[in-house]
Amino acid sequence: MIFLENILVNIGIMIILAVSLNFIVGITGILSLGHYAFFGIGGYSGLILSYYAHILGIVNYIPGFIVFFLIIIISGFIAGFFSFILSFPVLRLKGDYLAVATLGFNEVFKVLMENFEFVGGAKGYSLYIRLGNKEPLFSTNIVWVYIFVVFTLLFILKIMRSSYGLKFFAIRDDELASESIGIDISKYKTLSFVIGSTFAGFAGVLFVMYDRFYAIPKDLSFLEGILVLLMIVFGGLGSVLGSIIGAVSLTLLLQIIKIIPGVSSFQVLFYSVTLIFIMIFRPLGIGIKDFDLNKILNKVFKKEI
Amino acid sequence: MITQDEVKILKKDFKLLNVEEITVSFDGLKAVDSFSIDVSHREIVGLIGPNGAGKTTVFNVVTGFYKPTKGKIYLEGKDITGLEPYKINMTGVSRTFQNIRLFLSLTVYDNVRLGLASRKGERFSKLFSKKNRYYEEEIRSKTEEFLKIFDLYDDKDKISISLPYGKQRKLEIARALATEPKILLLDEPAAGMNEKETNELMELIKWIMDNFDISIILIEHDMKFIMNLCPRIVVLDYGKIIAEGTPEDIRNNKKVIEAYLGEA
Repeated sequence: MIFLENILVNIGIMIILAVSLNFIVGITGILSLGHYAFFGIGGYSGLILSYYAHILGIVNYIPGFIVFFLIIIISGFIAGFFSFILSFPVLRLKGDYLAVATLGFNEVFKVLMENFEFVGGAKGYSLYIRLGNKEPLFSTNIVWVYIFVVFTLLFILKIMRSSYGLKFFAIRDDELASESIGIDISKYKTLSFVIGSTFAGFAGVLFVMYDRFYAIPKDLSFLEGILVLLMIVFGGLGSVLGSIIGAVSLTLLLQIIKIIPGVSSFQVLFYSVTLIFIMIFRPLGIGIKDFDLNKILNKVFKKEI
Repeated sequence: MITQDEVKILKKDFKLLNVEEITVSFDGLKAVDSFSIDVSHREIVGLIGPNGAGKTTVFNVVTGFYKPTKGKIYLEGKDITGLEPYKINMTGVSRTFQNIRLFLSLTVYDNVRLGLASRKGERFSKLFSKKNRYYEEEIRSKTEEFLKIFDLYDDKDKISISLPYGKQRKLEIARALATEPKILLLDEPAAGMNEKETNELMELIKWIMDNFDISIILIEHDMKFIMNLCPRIVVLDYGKIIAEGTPEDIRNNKKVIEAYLGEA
């Protein structure tokens, strides 16, 4: 059972990450390769905030689930804040240059975390040890994860389906034409980047506060981050349902690979081979035209226009 | 105290659009040289000239895609020189492109909807308020209105790239018009259209002139088209205005004939 829950939690977190990255890359067309850095920022913030919540005794006055909820939200906003700051230099770039610049985020963040003693340096930040080998009073469970999965989906879909959100698609299709009809493209790009990164931050807290209670810079390498990109490319850029399918299938596949002895060390090889095969055979993703989440939602929310 | 410049501005007779002596140089090459044009309310002006004369550059400057090296642009007396393109669009200048620029992965409906949606500077927070529903409803009905005017209603769920060329042109004009401009800049709207489509477009532009409170500047190579539509035509060559007047004047102007056919 614990094994099953573990997998479901992982899948949920990957869904949040994939859907939020899809919003930035697939819908707004900003090729960001640094999504995992905001996942990391959220994770570290979550751990540090949890630590102080315990040390300062906040948990003694306020119920744990409220404290935890606030911590998730604040950590997400911290990730969003950093993405806002970074958006100024980065979103001035276009295409490949932007991709290369964001590629640096992960590495810079990883190196910073390795060298800040405050957050435990290369050994990582263990909440469990810092609290004196005690488990924190609150932690992620499957309910928390899926509440946030639903929240993420509703939020992103709400934006996508409004005339407001249509502007993000417009920017992806043609920046010049977008400007010519009065869309402030830099504002909308920043907005997309910040929203996506905030959700990555939520995912980060949920991830570190599930079972392990530590974050380690080693986990934040670019290669781990590329997996999320792989998921959304696999599912088809711009498609929310595609991102979900990508997240579920690739997480499951990875779990299977991890179990098979002798194969687990080829994980990275698996990423590249999958990506190459997608690029050759289905460059637009697995393609789920006949089963469009938007259409279904259109039916469900018909009265909501 | 009012400065000398401000007195000048106060004394000036502002039309809908005043373009004053704009010069655009690219590394010393003057693409547009001291170009001036005034456009009144509900006027349609034709802009012609040989290839490379700088017609599209004029559009790019007026819509903010290029910054002029020199000169000023006023819309209803308001200085819009050097503003960002989206702000210029907000103040009331809309355009189409020579090589059609639609949102190719979106439907016809969404293309027009975007024109309407971007007009309103709505806030992100409003997205989750109750009013949003009425707002969306308003945009939906207006979009359908536009699609019917432009005879695109039957194609509304098609992806815009799948439309035939003539309809793509039409859709681009519809989108530009949906931003509720005061002046519309059409860059070769009839290019690539067959005779029947050209005639339809001509009727459509006449219809727009009659039914919208709007002025139009038109770049076009099809002389029949432009002479038919525009009571006033400006001819550009090497970035300079070489002639201005009625179609009759232009047809008989020696300089214009030289520019098009070379010196005799």
